[in-house]
Amino acid sequence: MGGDNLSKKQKIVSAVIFSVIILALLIGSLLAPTREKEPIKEAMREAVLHEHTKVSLFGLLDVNPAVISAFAVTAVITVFCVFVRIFAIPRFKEIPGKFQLLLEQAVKYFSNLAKTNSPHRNNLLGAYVFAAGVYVFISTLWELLGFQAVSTEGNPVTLAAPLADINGAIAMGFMSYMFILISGIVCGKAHGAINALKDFSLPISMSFRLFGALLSGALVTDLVYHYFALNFVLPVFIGVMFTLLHAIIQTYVLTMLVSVFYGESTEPHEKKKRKKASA
Amino acid sequence: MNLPLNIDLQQILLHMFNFAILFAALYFLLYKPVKKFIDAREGEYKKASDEAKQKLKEADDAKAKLGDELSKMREDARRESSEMAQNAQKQYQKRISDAEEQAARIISDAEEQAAAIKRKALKDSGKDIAELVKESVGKVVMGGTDEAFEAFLSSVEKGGEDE
Repeated sequence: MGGDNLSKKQKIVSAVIFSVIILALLIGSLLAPTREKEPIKEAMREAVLHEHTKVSLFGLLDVNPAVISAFAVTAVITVFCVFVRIFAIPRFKEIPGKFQLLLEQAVKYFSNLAKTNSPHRNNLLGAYVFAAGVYVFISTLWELLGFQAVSTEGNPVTLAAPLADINGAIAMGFMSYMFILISGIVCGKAHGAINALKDFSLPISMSFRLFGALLSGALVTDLVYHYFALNFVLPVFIGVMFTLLHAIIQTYVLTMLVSVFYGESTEPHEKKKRKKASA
Repeated sequence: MNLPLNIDLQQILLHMFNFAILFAALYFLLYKPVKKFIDAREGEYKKASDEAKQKLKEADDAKAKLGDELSKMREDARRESSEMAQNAQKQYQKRISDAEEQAARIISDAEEQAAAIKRKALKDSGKDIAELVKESVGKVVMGGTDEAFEAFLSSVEKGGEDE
């Protein structure tokens, strides 16, 4: 190790410099002027409703921070996909390496999920649940990174998970429901449409399930960070419990629900066949 | 348009637009190429597996065919062996019966010959006796009765011993 080659004098100097930096940071954080802290009630209300904190979207319109998060997540994933498509996929081997195996497992998991729950017409479903799963998973983990944006009022705003905003959750839920409904109409005609329409509560339940689950994690995290004394060690466990687990669970739940309802909606209508068979 | 819970239709549409872009990017750049690669590889494996199964089936069929042929050949050999044994038995029986017939015929011929010889001997001995009688009578009539008589007796005795 390089540290083993340092002389005793160098070690002492390094330790002193490190201590001075730590001390300066501590003193700075205590002496720096802080804006007036908003009460916990207001903070929680703002975290749920995003009534006052808006961020400008390319100067066109003011939106919730979650919209910026959503576009940022999409940009990051798209850039990653472009790199993978250009540099990794052409070099895929018959015996996969670790990265290739990771990609193949992800694609295969969602493809198999679609095939298992919807034996008929599952190609598009596989692609949809893959996209939805990746979006829910990555966008939930996004809040762990704690990226900041500037609000329209000039204050720093932490970019929350896109689905912790009710508008993002409703968009996801309704898109999933519309996907199921349209596929049902295309595949099963009137019967498919009726199958999808009879579960009219599905978009609401999917939307609010996502919103509730992800918001609860965000609220707990905000609550912990609101009190200075809770800012040590505890956030590690909170982050794992309410962000990582939520990311995995909500990805699984949403993709599973979409697959199951899509399978029901697009399954062939066999009533006439049964009548003929009984006759 | 603001609804309760700060639901904003414009922002919902923005989220949908964002997800549509993400869906297209993920589908065309990641999902489709990776799935195509996986499917192609699975297709190759399936093809190799099908070929192996086909060859295995052909080998099994050939084995079964050879087994059938072998059992058929064994059956043929068994049947031919049985037929040959039966033929040999028949030939044996025929030869035995021929030999017995030949022996019977030989015996019969021999008996007939013996009977003919006997009859001829009797016939010849009768002629001899008649000649002897004739000779003896001649001698008696011509003289030397006693000698003639003795000669007659001895000739009769000889004739009787010959028979």
